Amino acid sequence: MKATFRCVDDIQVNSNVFITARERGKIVARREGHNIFVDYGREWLTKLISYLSFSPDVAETDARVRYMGFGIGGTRQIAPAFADAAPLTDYVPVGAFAQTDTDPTVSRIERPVRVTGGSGPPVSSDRWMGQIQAPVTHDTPTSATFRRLFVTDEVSYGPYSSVPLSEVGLFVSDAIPNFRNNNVIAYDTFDTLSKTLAFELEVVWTLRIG
Amino acid sequence: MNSNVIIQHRRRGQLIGERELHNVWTRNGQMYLAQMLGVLWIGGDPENPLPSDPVLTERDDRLCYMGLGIGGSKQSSPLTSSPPLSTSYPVGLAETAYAPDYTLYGYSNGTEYNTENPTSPLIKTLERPVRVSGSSLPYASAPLTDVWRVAHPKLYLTHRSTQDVTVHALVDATAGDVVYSPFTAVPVSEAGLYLNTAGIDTPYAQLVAYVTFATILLEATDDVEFTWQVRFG
Repeated sequence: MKATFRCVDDIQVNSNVFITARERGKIVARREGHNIFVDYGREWLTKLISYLSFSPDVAETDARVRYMGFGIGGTRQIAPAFADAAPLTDYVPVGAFAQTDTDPTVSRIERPVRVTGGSGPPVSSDRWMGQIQAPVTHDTPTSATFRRLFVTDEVSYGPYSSVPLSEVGLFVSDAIPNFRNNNVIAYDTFDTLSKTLAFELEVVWTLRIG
Repeated sequence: MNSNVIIQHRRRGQLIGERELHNVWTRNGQMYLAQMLGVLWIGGDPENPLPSDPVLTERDDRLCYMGLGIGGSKQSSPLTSSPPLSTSYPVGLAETAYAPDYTLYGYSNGTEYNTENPTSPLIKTLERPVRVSGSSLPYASAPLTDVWRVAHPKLYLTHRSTQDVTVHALVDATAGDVVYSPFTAVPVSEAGLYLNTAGIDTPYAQLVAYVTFATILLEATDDVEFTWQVRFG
C-alpha cells in the first residue's frame, strides 16, 4: 500500500471512465479518460455527509450513484454532420458541440440520447439513463467503481441504427430516468464511438477519493 | 490556500487567541467517502428503475462529533506530563502505523501525530483524547458514561458555499466542558471530526479529519469555538 496522502484542505474526487465496445464478445473499440467530477457532484457530496438536523438525526440527502447516460454532444464529437442529421435530430436538437470534460460547471449531458423508448419527440415512457450494477465495487479501499452494460438494442434501436456517442455522464438516485435533462455528478467526452445493434458497451467508472 | 479550520479562544467572553489551520482528511475519511457513494443492492426492475425502488446502502453515517486532545506534534505544555493529565490521559495508547505497509509499529509517545506528514505515523485517532465530561479515570478503565466528544447542541453543521460543509463546535469550559475537577487547566493541542458511528463514550474512535495546533491552555473561564470547513475541490 502506498502513501497517497496530500496535505491539502480540499478533498479531491478523481474520476476515470473506461468504455469498451464488444461485438459477439470480441473487443472492437475502447475509450478511456480522466474526466471531471463537476460542481453539482461536489455539492451532492457535501450534503451526503451532512445531517440537516440532529436529535433525531435527519440526513440532508440519501441519494447515491445509480445511473449512467450517453449523449452525442461535447467537444470530442468527430462526426457532427452525422449527429446533426435525421433521424437523431428528430428528438435531439442540433448541437453546438461545445461542452468539455474539463469545465466543473458542466451540469448536464449536452445532447442526451435515449437508452430505450420511442422515436420522435420525447415521451414519458422513454428511458434516458441506465441503472448501474449493484453492488458497487472497491478496487482500492479509497475508490468506488460503477459498472453498466448497455446491451445491443439499448441506445441503438428502431430508426436509430447507428448513434455517434461522444459523451457520458454519471447520475445519482434522485435523478429521474424518464427525464432527459438530469444533473450529472461526473462527465466525460470521448472521441465518437458509434453504437449499433452489432455490439454492446460496457462502461466502468471509478471515483477515487484523494 | 485558505485555511479551513479556525479556532477562537475566549476568556471571560473576550477573544484572546485565534488559530487558522489546515486539516488532514484521513485515510479513514477517504474510505468512508468511497463507501458512501454507491449501493449494495437495488430492488425493483433494473430495466425500468423507479426513484421509489428500495436500496441497501453500504453505510449511512455522517459527520456528527468533534473531539479534543492533548497530543499531536504541536503540544508544548509541560502540564501534559504531570498528574492529573499524565495519569488520566496517559501516553502509549495511540497506534503508530507507518508507511509503506502500515502494519502496526507500536504506540505513540504522545506528540507524534502531525498534519505535515499524516502518514508518518498514519493518523487514525486522536493521540491523547480528553473528555468533555465525566470521570478522571485512565483510558483503559474509563466508564462508558464518560463523554469524549462534543455533540449537538454544541455542534451543528452549515454550508458556507455549495462545495463545503462547515462544522461549528463549541467547547465551553465555563459550563464544565473539559475543565472540571481535578483538571484545573487543560492544554489542548489536537482535534478531530467523527461520524455518528463513532459514538461519544470511548476515547479511541476512528476519526475522518484531524488537526493539530499550538497549545491552547483551556481554563475554567474559557471557551473555544471551532469553525471547521470540509471542502471538496
